[in-house]
Amino acid sequence: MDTSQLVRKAKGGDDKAFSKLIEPIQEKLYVTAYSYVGNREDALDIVSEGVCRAYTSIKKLKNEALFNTWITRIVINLSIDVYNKNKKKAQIVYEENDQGYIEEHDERIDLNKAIEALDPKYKIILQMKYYEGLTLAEIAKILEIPLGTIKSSLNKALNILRLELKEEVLE
Amino acid sequence: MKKENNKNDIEDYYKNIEIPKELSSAVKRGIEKGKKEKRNIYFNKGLKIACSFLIVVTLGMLLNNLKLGVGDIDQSVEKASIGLELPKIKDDKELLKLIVSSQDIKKESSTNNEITGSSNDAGKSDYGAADYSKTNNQVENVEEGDRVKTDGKYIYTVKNDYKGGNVSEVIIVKGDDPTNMKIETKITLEGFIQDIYITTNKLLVISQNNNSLGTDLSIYNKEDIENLKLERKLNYSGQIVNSRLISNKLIMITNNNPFSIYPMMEDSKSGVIKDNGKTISLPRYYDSLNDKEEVTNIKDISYFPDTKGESIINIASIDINNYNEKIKTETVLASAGSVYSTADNIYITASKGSFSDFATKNTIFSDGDTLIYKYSIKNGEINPVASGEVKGRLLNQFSMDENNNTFRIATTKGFSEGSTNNLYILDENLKELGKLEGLAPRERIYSVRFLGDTAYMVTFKQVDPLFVIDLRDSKNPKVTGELKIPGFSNYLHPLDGENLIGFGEDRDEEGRYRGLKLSIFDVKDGTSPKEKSTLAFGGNKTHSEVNYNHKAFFLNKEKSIIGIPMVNFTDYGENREGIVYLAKYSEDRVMSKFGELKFNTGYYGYENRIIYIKNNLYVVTNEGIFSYNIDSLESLGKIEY
Repeated sequence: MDTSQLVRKAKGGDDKAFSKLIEPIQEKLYVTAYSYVGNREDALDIVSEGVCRAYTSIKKLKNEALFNTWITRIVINLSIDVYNKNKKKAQIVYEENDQGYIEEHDERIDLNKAIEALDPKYKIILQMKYYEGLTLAEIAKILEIPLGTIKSSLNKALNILRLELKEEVLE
Repeated sequence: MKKENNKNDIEDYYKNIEIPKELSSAVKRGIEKGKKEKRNIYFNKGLKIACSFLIVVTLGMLLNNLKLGVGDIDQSVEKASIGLELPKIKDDKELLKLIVSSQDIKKESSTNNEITGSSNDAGKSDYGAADYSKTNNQVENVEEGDRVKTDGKYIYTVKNDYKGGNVSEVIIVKGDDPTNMKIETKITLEGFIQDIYITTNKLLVISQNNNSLGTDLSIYNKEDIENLKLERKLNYSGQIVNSRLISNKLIMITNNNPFSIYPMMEDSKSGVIKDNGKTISLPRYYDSLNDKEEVTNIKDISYFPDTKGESIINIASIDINNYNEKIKTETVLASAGSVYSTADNIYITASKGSFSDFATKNTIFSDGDTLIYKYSIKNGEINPVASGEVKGRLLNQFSMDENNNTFRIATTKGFSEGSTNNLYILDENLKELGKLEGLAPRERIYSVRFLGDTAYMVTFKQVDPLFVIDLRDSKNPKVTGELKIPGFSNYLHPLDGENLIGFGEDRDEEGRYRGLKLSIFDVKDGTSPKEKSTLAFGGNKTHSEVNYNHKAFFLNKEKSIIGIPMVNFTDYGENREGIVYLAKYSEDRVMSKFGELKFNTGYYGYENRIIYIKNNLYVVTNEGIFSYNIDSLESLGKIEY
C-alpha cells in the first residue's frame, strides 16, 4: 500500500494505517530533531509531539503523497522552538567545550565533533543533503529558505568543516 | 590530506546518531496523546461552531471596509497622496486569521541573508574612484552595510565569534600609515555583528543578539575616536533582513516570525496572543532613550489585501543624528527576502507559497512565485505604494532594478529540466507593462545586472550564455544578443559604458568545476557581446565569497585593479591560507594577472575584504589587517586583533 492510500485510511480513523506511515520514517524524524536540539530527551519529546500533531491534523493534509515532508516540517518547527528555548543553556555548554573544539586526529579533523558544534541551521541542511539525499532545491522548499541562502549556508557549513565544497554546492 | 570521502563522512555522522530504544514508545505516546486530543476536539465542537460564526461576521465587515478604504477620503488623509491606504488589523482574531500558516506547519523565519547590491549607473557611481574604498553599493547614494568600512584614516572592522559565542567586537584601526597600523579602539557588543555603517560623526552597528533573539542597532558618536560614546541603542524583536543608509536615515527591516516564542517572553507579558492553542508574539522594540520597551499595537499592523505574508515585517526609518525625530515605523503582515532600494523607494520581496500551500498543492516544485512590496521612503517617511507578484523566484537583489518609474525584475521559474527564466517590467504601481518569458529553458539565472536600458543576465546549465536584453520599450523587452561560454558569472559589475566585469566559475566543456574566473565582456554592441579577456585562477580547491556577496569584490579604477579574496581549502586548521588574487586591466580592457597576496586567514577566515587608502592596499580579515603597497604589492605591515 502506498503512502497516499495509507494517508486516506488514516484520515478515516484507521490507527494502524497511521502507525504504518510513521514506522518507516521514525528514525529519520528522530535524527532531524536530534540535529537541531542535540540531545536524546528533547529529540524523543519532539518526535512524540510531532506524531501527536500529525495524528490530530492529518485531515488537513490535502496532498497525501506529501505526508513525509509534511510531518518532517512539523518536527522541524517543534525543533526550532525547543532549540530557541534551549539556546541560552546551549551557549554555556559550547563555551565550556571550547578547548577541544576541533581536534586533529592523524591530520584529520574530528568531523563528528565539528558537526556537533555546528549551528543547527547548518546542521539541518547537511542532514537533508547528505543523510536524506535531497537536492538543494528540495531543501529550500522544505525549509522555506531561498535557494541562494541554502547554497551559501551549505558553503559556510562545509567551510567550517573544512571540507572541499565546490562540487557539492553546484547542482 | 585526503578528502575524497567527505560526503560519506557527513552521511556517516548522521547515520551514527544512535537511535534510542525508546523511540518506538515515544511514537506510541504521541499517537495516544493525539487520540486523546482528538476526543477533546469532538467534545468542543459545539463551541467551535459558535466561534466560526463570529469570524464570518468579522470577515464580512472587513470586506466592506476594503471596498470603502480606497475612496474614503477621511481614512486616507493621513497617508497624503502617496500610494495606497492599507487596511489595518482589527484585533487578535483577525491577526490569527490572516496569518496564513497554522502553527503546526508554520515556517521558519524567512530571513534571507542574501546580500544584494549594484552600482546601477556605472558612469556615475563613485565606487572604485575615490581616495579610499567605499562599499560596493548597488545603487548610488544608497549605502549598504558591511563588515569593513574606512574613512580614509581609520579602518573599521568586525571581529565576530564564529564559534557560537554571543560577543563580538568592532575594531577601529588607524590605518593611514600602513607601516604602523594601530588599534585605536575596541568596542565589545553582545551578539553577532551583521553590518556596520560610518558617517562623519557616527558609527552604526547592527547585530543579531542571541540572548534577546532580536536585532540591536547601536549608534555611537565617534568624534572622539578613542572614547566612542554609545548614544542610543535600539532593539527590535526579530531578525534583521536588510538595511540601507540614505543620507542620515537608516532604513532597517526586521522580520518577526509571529509564532516564535522568545524565551524571555513569559505568558504574562503583553504582546503575546493566545488563542485556540496558537501563540503569537507581536513585534516589540526597545529604545534606550526612554529606556522603554514597547509592543506594536495590533491596530498598527497593516496588510496588503492581495498579497498577505506569513511574518510580521517591521520597516523602521531612524534618524541617526536627530534623536528628537520620532522613528517612523510601518508594520505589515508580509514576508521578506531580498531587498532592493533606491533613495526614494524600497522593494521587499518574498517567495510566495507557504508550506501550507505546498502541502495542499500537487507538487513540491510548484515553486514560489515572487511577491513584491513597495514602500516610498522619501524624506524618511515610510508609505506603502503597492504590492505585486511575478512568476518565478528571485536570485538576489541584483535581479531587481528601478528605472524611470518602471521596476524590472528577473526570475527563474521551475527547477532543473523544467526551468525557464523570465523578465518583467512593471509600472510604478507594480502592474505589468511588458514581459519576456521562457528564456534559456533548462537553465537558471546565476547573475543579473540592469544598466539603464539594458539587462544582462547569465544563465547556466553547462555552457553560459550571457544574454543582452533591450528594455527601451517597456512593453516589449527583447533579447538582442547572446554569448555562450563555458563556466558562468555569479556577479556582474559595470566597468565602463562598454565593458562588464564578470566573476564566477571556470568550467570545462562537461560543466566540471575547474576554479575561479574573471572575464571582461565587451557589450558595446548589444547584438554581439564578446568575452574580451578572461583569467582563470585558483584551481578547484579555492573558494571566494564574491560568488555570493558582491561586497567582497574589489575594484580600483584609478589603478585598474580588480581584486578577488579567496580561501584555499587544501590547507586545514588554524593556518588556513587566504589568497587575494589581483588582476590588472589595460586601456583596451585586457586583463593580466597582477599578483597574489597570501596570508594566514585563521580558522574562520572566509569573509575577507580588500580595501585601499591612497596608495596602499589592505586585506582585512576577522583576525587582523595586512597592508601592501598598491603598485609594488610589497608587504608593509600587519596588525592582529
